[in-house]
Amino acid sequence: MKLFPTQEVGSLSKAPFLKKITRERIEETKRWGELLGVEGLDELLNLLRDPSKAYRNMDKLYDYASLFAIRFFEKAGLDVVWDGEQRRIEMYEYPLSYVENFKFLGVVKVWDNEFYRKGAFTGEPKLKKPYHLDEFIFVKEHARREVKIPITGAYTLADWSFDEHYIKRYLDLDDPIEARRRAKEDLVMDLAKNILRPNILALVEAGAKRIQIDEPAVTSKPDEVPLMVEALNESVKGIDAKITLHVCYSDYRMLFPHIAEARLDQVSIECANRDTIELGLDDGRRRGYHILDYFKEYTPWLEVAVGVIDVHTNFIEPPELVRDRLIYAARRLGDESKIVACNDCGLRTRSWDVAFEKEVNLVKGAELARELFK
Amino acid sequence: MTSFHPLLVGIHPRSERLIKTFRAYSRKKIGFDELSKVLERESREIIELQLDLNYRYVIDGMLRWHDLLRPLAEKLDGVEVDGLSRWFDNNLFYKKPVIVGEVKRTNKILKEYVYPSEIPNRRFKLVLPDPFTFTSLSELGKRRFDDVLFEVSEAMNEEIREMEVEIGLGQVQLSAPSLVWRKLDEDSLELAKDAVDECLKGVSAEKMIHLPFGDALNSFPQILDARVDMIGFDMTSTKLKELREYRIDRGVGLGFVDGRNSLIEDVEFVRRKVEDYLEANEPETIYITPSCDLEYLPRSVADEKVRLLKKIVDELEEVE
Repeated sequence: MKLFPTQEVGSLSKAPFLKKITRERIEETKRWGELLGVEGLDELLNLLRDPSKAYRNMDKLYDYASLFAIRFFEKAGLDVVWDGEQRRIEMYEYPLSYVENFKFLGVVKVWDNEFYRKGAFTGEPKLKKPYHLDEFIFVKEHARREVKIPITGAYTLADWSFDEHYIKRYLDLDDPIEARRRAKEDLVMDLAKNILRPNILALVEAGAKRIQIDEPAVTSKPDEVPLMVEALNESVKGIDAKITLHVCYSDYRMLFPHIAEARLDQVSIECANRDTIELGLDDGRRRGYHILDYFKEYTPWLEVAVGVIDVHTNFIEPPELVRDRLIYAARRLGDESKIVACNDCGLRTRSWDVAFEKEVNLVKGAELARELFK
Repeated sequence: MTSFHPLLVGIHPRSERLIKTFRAYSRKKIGFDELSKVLERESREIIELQLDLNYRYVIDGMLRWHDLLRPLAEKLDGVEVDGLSRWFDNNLFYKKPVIVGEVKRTNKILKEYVYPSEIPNRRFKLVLPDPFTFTSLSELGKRRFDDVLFEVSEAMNEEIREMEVEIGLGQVQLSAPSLVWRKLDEDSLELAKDAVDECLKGVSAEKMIHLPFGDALNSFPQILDARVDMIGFDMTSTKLKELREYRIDRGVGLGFVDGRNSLIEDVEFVRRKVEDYLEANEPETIYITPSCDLEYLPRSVADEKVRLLKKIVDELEEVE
């Protein structure tokens, strides 16, 4: 098997024509379409020249956006691709709009003046219909590389929501913390059974071979990591696909030892953001990768998709830096065959130009690392 | 005979209109004057809501506070504001204060953050973090924890006393999640209590300490000796049976109304819990509060909980 395979994590900023159509954006579309060799570019450009007609054909625009993003990652040379979540708004509101017994209540603060629309479970969650199937089928039909589809995990859907249903079961308990814990457990497991599992089954039936479960909330309450693991196992029980867990910007030590119990093949984590940008293989310069010790100790069978590209800066990591990070991670884990070259997280906060250069160097850096292990 | 009052304990959520106004301001589409006008108007709405419901002490919603630590972090000498950190176990983040030198108050801190204009004299409630929480959540660099702690306490004391002269405070509350979030050792709790006393020294308004996000017993017995008039508990994190065992010789705030969940509590349910507490203790005053700030809720739900607190008080008074 190829050492240091390359893969993305999820999002890419929206294709230029999904924003308000202007002459500059049409030019931008043409430039990228030609660079990426997107098929049907002329049809798209014709459509964009009449914006009112284009807006009436949003489905078509989304299809093109998906295609642009697939070609974007393929052109950069990645081994495993996705469509940069071109059809998704975000990872919470979109899935929950397909869930019964859930209502959106209004916005709540995340920090400063940043808010998200939050809702409450008012009964047992039921799935209206699998919500990632259409986008998956489109990507599968068009991608020329292996495909990995990201989906928000049960724990995060629960943790970011209010509970107006399950807590009522336990109000009589004298210990309010225990009441909340049990209610949360019930909610998370129902989400795993009723929402995640049918979605994943539908995807696998449609041909999905790689599923990435995103659980950004998991380390906010360290006591609840075992609950996330239980829900993940329920979500993927008996499913024949490669399962990745993605977590970022957290203290990953909290995952251990619990994730040793998870039915997982791979864990994808952000590391570059906490590393230095100097070349070298010493512990100080490569401080973002010390966490590999935990994987070595507790879960040596797992692949670790380490972030070697920081998605929150415009700094373009040179291939040599990517190489050093990969080699260091491989040494620290003690097994180069388990290291996957990855971004820290989705690229959606970067421009396409910056993101593309980063991805090209991700691929070049992985190649440099591979040569050293030949 | 116990008297009951509804009381809020912290930051109120911004309305969607105010969020848009803040966005316009940060994109430089409007100036500070315009932002300020909207803040004034929205604060007045929150003030009126409480006055109409006969709240004894009234907050202005703290609508300009991006987080509980920010005014101090921005205005104190020797402190800078750094990147985001998680606010306890919430899906909410604050900006970490970084201590870069001796902490001193050389400017007014809160004047531009408060909107007390419609609040009758001595009914304005001021909320600040307790000095221990502020210091624990700061990056200290090479400074010693207790040095910074007492510099912060002293600076806060100056500020509170000046606010008393300028706007006539009714109640000052120190919010102290760090004292209950995890069990601290005895020395730390002693230190925290001394810092509270230092911070509130010479203040004539009613003094309250509030303990959100954790088991109140984590701060006992040391915090029961703090020189405050009222202690407020997060009853969504504290066992009533255990709290009842403590003789608390002053007023209490009972936060059975969950500030972090949208479920509107049943009035009867809360009344029974409060009566349960009263069987073991008979404080002069009980404040019926949310468990924490209401900023974790959408605005309409938070306003509903403001009304709920009053309904619970009415129910309790009727029974008494």
